[in-house]
Amino acid sequence: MFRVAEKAGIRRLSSKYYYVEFKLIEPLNADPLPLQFVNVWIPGVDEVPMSIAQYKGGENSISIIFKVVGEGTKALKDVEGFFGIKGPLGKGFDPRHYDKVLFIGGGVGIAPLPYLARYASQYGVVVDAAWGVRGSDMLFNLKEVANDVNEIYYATEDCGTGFCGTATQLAIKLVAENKARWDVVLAVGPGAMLRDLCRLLSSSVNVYVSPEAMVKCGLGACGSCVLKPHPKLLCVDGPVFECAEVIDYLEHVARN
Amino acid sequence: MNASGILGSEPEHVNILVEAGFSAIVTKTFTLEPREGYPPPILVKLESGGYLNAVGLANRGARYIPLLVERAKACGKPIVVSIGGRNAKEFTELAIIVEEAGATAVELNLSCPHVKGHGLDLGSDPSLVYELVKEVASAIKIPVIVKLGLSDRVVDSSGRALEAGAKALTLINAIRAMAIDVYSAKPVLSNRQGGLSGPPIKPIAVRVVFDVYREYKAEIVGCGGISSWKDAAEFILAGAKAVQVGSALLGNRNVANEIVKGLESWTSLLGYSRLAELVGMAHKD
Repeated sequence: MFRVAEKAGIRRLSSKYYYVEFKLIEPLNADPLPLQFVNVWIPGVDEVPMSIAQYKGGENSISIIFKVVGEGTKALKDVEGFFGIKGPLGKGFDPRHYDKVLFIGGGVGIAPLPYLARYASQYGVVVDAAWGVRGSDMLFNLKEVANDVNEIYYATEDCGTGFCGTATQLAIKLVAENKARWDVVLAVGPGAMLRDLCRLLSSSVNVYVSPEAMVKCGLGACGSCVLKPHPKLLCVDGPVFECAEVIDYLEHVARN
Repeated sequence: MNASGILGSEPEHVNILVEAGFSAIVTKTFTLEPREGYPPPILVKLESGGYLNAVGLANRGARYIPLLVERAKACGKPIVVSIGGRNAKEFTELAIIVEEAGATAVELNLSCPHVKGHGLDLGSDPSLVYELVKEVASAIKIPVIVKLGLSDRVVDSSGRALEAGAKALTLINAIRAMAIDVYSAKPVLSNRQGGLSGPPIKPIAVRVVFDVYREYKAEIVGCGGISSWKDAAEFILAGAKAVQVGSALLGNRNVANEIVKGLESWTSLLGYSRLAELVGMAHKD
């Protein structure tokens, strides 16, 4: 059903993003893999899909990074009391197949990075991260939140800090200037960003993407998260895919 | 076949179900007008087994039906389109659309347990079932399958559906149920009540199939908690000629293939050459 959890703390990371930690009163049904997600039930309000930003099994702690976009995320920020956690959901991404991972986050796509880096570090896998946002006021100190990440590169579209441009442009530059440094690129962000990275980087390096889709049941029954025109469900086949598996979906989302 | 409601509302879902090895595809229930369905939470897995859902008949409306039928044809698979109306007129209109689209058969949803004015509200009244099925069966030539749910008069409703021209019955749908979260003190589903499916309902479903077969020797599609060949075999012995699998697909994408293999071995183990010979065998004295 839903594993019951309580808010242990919430803090504002920047103008746009929040970090909320939950204490699991009932443990999850399995330790998560990076890039797996959970559906958070806010009783009486909504059930929303969220990347697992951090997980510490020993402390029964699970955390998410989010921005307020509607009733559900607003309640996530404001409501106290008991919450329900469904998951972990999806197949996630196992960094153990690789030596050096380049994570590219667009906006709130940065959310799964802290847990990915923590998990990877336990197996000696290095994770570098490039994070792009529209406005510099949206940035927060990524090293503080994701202290297992190796190198961090920031990009801002308003050119206030770091690389002046988009996460995509920064990623292209990094891969071009560091030939064969990373054996895999993992990107999480808007459809247009993922499409561009697939188009421009696939010939130089393995690219995996984690797109967004409407998630309702999270269990593979309702099919709301189908990545048209591909016969793939985000919640059970993903949320991480090879470019070829979802490229037409990304094209469609990018155009709309 | 897959049970209606597990995927089946988009053409891409048809591909997924075909890949999963089902011999025929059953669509999500289509209504004339599009339905948004209920807000989440719409589905939970229960700790004691099975699932509880109140999806709310979410679908893109009748004009989307041809897209799914086309896709099934492209995959070379028969397709049964499930339809949900609130009265005979709506069911008939939908049935005609289904026939014109070229579907193999139509399945009337007279059993969804959690949408007012639909499903079980109609199916639990045997005379209403008769009226509805009669009108639909007179309007189209493709086979009419009637999916009924657990109710006090399910055997009666079954009989009347058959009298009215139903070629087969799907027994049963999910059963009206609910779950309450003890920490927030709130029902878990946004719709509060939903339908219980999966292993917990299998004995109930087997009993319904057995009783209806005993009474009418009808063509029955068994449905309710089938997750292995053994479960399917039980339904066949009770009188089912075919089976539908829903919830089990969520935990095991390969379930259809496993069931087919298992039934083949079981048939030879018992010394028969055709599975059909085993239909209804539990009724023999």
